[in-house]
Formats: sequence, structure tokens, C-alpha cells
Amino acid sequence: MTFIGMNNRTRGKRLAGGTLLLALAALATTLFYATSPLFAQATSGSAEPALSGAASGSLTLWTDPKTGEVFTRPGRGRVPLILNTGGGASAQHAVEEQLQEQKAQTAKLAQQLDQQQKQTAAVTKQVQEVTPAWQDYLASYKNKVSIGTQVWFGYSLFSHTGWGPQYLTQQIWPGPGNDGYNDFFLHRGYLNFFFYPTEDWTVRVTPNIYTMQGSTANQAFGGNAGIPNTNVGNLGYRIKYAYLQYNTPFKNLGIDAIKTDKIIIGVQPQPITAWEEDLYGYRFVNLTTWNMSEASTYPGLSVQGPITFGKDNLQYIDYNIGVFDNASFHAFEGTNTKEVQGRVSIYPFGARWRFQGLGITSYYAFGYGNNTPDQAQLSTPFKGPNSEIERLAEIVHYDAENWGIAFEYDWGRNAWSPGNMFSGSGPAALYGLTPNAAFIPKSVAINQAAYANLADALLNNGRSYQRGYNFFGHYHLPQTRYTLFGWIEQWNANTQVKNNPFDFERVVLGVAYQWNEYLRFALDTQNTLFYHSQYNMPVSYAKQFNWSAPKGFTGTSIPDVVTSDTHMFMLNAEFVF
Amino acid sequence: MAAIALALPVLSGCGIVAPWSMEPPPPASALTQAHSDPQEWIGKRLPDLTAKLGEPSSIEPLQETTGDLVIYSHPGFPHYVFETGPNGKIVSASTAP
Repeated sequence: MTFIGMNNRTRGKRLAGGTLLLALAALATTLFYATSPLFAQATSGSAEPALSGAASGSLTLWTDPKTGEVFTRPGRGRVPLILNTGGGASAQHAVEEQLQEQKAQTAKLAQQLDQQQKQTAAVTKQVQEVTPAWQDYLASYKNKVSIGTQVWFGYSLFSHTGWGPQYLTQQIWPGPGNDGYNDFFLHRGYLNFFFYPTEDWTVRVTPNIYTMQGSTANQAFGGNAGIPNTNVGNLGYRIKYAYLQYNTPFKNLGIDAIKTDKIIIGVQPQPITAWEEDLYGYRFVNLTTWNMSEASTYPGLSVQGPITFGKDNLQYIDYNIGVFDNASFHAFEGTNTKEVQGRVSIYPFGARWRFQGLGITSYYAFGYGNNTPDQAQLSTPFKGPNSEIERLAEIVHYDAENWGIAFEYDWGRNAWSPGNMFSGSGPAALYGLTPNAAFIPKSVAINQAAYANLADALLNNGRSYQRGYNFFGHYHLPQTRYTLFGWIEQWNANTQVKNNPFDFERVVLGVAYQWNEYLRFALDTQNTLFYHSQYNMPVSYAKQFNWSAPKGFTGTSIPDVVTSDTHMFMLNAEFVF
Repeated sequence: MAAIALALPVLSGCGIVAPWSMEPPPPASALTQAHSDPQEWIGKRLPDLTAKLGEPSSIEPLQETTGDLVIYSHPGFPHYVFETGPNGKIVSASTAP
């Protein structure tokens, strides 16, 4: 116990006899009742022993500084002696601490309750706003799938019919002597399905509706009945594109120049045709040159894309290199080899968009005829369709917003077959058929067979070389919806032949009208001109190419080997959605 | 010819072949100010573009991608060339030099 207020002078002095005892008794009493709140109400100066300050845990006595005596009452010469009783204050303090703790806990509980109420409100709101799973799935799926279509429809009027290559895919017409032939026909009907599961991958499936051509054989049906063939002319349904596209194979290399290049596996466009169709812009009107002898789509694997440089991210190189089947998308693969194709387009000044500015494009393909290995190894004087096939194109092009122009040089080896030559219409004998004797005298039919054999000898001998020159472009008339376009081609079917009667020029001129973003029309004229003067080819010369005389042919020359021209007008419509 | 003549009203009834608005595009100054950087259009759709820039001069469908080359070359106005992807969204945008 500490005696508060005792100075140094009184420290150590003893209280006088009875007074001390009395003081101690009072102190004991004070301590005994220290926790009683009654003491807290006592005030100093009262008649009772002055135990003021008990409420704060202290006891006040009086002492005479001169004598050192201690008194319970104030008196003359006495000064207050305050004693700290301690126990009551501790209890009070403990109670106060408990109260404070209780208050703190109560406040904490109130805070927790408030927080819980807020969380409950939030959960309630979430539950109210929750989207059904099927809605979320559809909303997400909508952005991952796109469906489109492309339809080409046309009307053609042939002022002069002849034999020759088709102008558009699956377009056919009767041969010479059928001037005025005309037809409506559907060239193409695509359904484009795209799926983008992630930004890295794209899946494309495009069924193609096309005009069926094929065997005309009827079929027996039961013991005494037959059914006619119904394939020819029907609209068939086949896969044109079906591929998986890896959009970001080079993204992680950290090379900005090739970050958008991609790898494609599946049935896909070969490197030249679709690209050139886009450069030209009027594929719905006429075929591009190499597309007249090779399909636009093959099963295979390719890597392709632009190479860009500089702060403006201009395209300086665009390439497409791949390995494909020798068979196209509408044939079985028969070979144990594969075809390699590649295209590289260089834009020396950089292209702001796909074809902008000056471009120089090289295309090369090396492959084989689509024959099984055992057939391909047969020893024949002229390997014909078993031979190697090469195609080359060198294109210089310039493209602006309103116009584009291109010059193309082509070179090929065994790349132009009789089937390509007469894909639109050809002599019946070429397809193993006999002309109708009611319309063609027998002597003429024999000459026609000799002509068909000549086509096979000159174009399918395994030693043929092709050469072509093309000039094409378009010009959009400002402030109108009209665009003028044209394609002029000279084609040498086999440069190894003098005055090859199968050489021709193709001239396409037209004007297109854009109705809206989905629909375009074109009015055009398309012509095949066999430009050599008419002549008779000596049999001796034809035999150098392994020509064989048809049954009944006895002449020394094949007469009139330059066939007649074809002239046609066409109204084309393209619908893309 | 007759088939197309018959088909057009049918398609028109479906709202597919409504021709473009013949209204002129916005003033060149507005175009320049609002769209000085055509890259801002990447990711947006063609209707958004035509709503701001008006009728394009021409649209060429692309065989390779099934997208479109959308060309603005109105005389006296800024020239732009946009390319859309198969889903109709703009994938590249350029100002003609």
C-alpha cells in the first residue's frame, strides 16, 4: 500500500499509540466495505470519518505535520492525509472493462449483422437476375457461329455455238449448229457454316449445290423392267470446303510480321484460284484461267498469310503454300504421290489492304495425274494422264479503290487435257459417243472422230506445254453503281504443235450493277475465238503425236481442224449473304 | 431474265434486296473528324459502318474468306477500304493513299 501525499519528512515516522490503532481500524473497515457503492456517495467534510474519495479508491485522514499524529477528523494544524485504498477502484475498473468489452462485442455483432443483411440482399438480387443456362449458351453460341450463303444464277444466250471450254462451272451447251440456244441455270449454291470455338480456331463447312453430269446408262430394275437415269441435270450436293483453321500458330513466337498467319487442314482452296477470283472480282461471271483446268479446292494442308512490316503494318508479302491430293474435292485420290502448290505475292511498296497498289505474284504447282501406282507405272509411248503436271503463273497487278488491272503470263506442262478443252461442249466421239446419223452424214462423223482423236493426241500425250497471256481488270464508274470489267486471254494449248488448231482467245466484256450489299448483276458477252485460219492437218504430222485414225478414216489429212467460234451473252446474278 | 424479274419483287418483299439509300454520304469534314483512324472500326459490323459513313461505293464479295471488301471512294470525300470476315465483322480498315 502506498501512502499518497506523505512527504519525505514524514516517511518512516510512526503514528502515535491509540491514534494509530484507530486509524488502522478505520482503514480495515474501509477496505472491508470498499466495494460498496454507498462509499461512493460519501463526501469529505461530513461528520462521519472522512473517507471521501472512496469512490475513486482513496481514504482521507488528517495529520499534524509537526507531531506526525494522524487523525480521522480535520482540526487545527492538521492537513489532509489521502490514502489509496486500491481494491474498490480495481473492481470498478474491471466492471468498466467488462462493460467496454461487452459494448465492443455488441458493436461487432451489430456490424456482422449488418454485413450479413447486405450479403443476403446481394444474393437475393443475384438469384433474381440469374440467366437460365440455355439463354447464356445461346447468347454465347450466337457469337461463335455464322451461317451464310452464296448463289450464282444466270441466263445465257448463245448467238453462235461451237465446241470449247466452259465459261462457268458446270455450264454446258450443245455444239455447232445450235445457234440461239439459251438457258437459265444455277451455277453455284453454297451454304457457308463457320464455327469459332476460340479465337485460335475456325471450322468451316461449305456444301455446294451443283449441276450433276455423268453416266447416262439406264438401269435394269427387276427381271423385266428398267428405270431411266435421272442424274444428268439434277442439282447434286457435295462438300466444297471442309477445313479446320488454326488462326494463331505463330502468335507466341513474338514476331509481329507473321502473327496473323494460319495453318489450314482439310478440303480447302488451292493457292491461286480463290485468290485470283478476289483480285478480279467477277468470278460469278467467268472462270479464271487456271481454274479452267484445275479445281479450285483440294484436300490438303497449307500455311498461309500476310507478312507485314512497319509502323503502318503494311502487307509486303502474302503467301499460301501447301501439300494436296492430286485428286480434287470431287474425286477419289488414286496416287501414292502428292501435289505441292505455292503462291507468293510481293507488294514492293506495301499494301494497305488485300490487293492495294503494285503487286507481283508467282504461282507454281507440281503434281501428277490422278492414277493408281500400278497404272501410273505402265510403259506407254505417251504417258498421257499418268504424267507429271506443272502449272506456273506470273501476275503483275495494280489495285486501287476504284479500279484494278492485271497482266498474267501462264506456263504449263501436261496441264490442259481434252476434257479441259471441251468442258463446255465437245465432239461426241471425244466422249466415246456416236453422233446422231440423222443429222450428220457418216463421212462427217468419221472426220469428227478424227478430230477428237487429234485432240487426244495433241493435248494428252504427256509432252504438252501450255502458254497463256491474260489481261483483266475492272473500273468502277464514280458516283454510280456500275463497274466495267473484262478478261482477255490467249491460250496456246500445246506450244509443241505448229498452228495448233486448239489455240484460242477468250474475250469477256461486261458491266456489273450493284443493287445492294447482297446482290450484284452483270450483263456481259463471252466469246471463244479459235484464231488460226482453217486448214487440214496432214496425217503424217498428226502421227508424230501418236494420233490414230478412227475406223473408216482413209484420208491423208484431217479436214477443217479449226473448229468454229462460240459467242454468248449472259446475264448473271450473284446473291451473297 | 424473266426469272430474275420475278425473283426481285419476291426478294424485295423479304427485305433482302432493298437498294441502298440514295442519300449522299455525310460531309467530308465530318468524316475526317469522326473517323480519322479507320482502325477504330475493326470489330464492328457493316451496318454500324454504313450508319455512320453512308452508302459505300462498292462491295466485292471475297471468295477466299466469304467476307467482303467494302470500298468508300466517293469523289471529294475520304476514301476508305474495309474488309469484313465471314461473320460480318470488320477485320481490317485502311485509308486509301
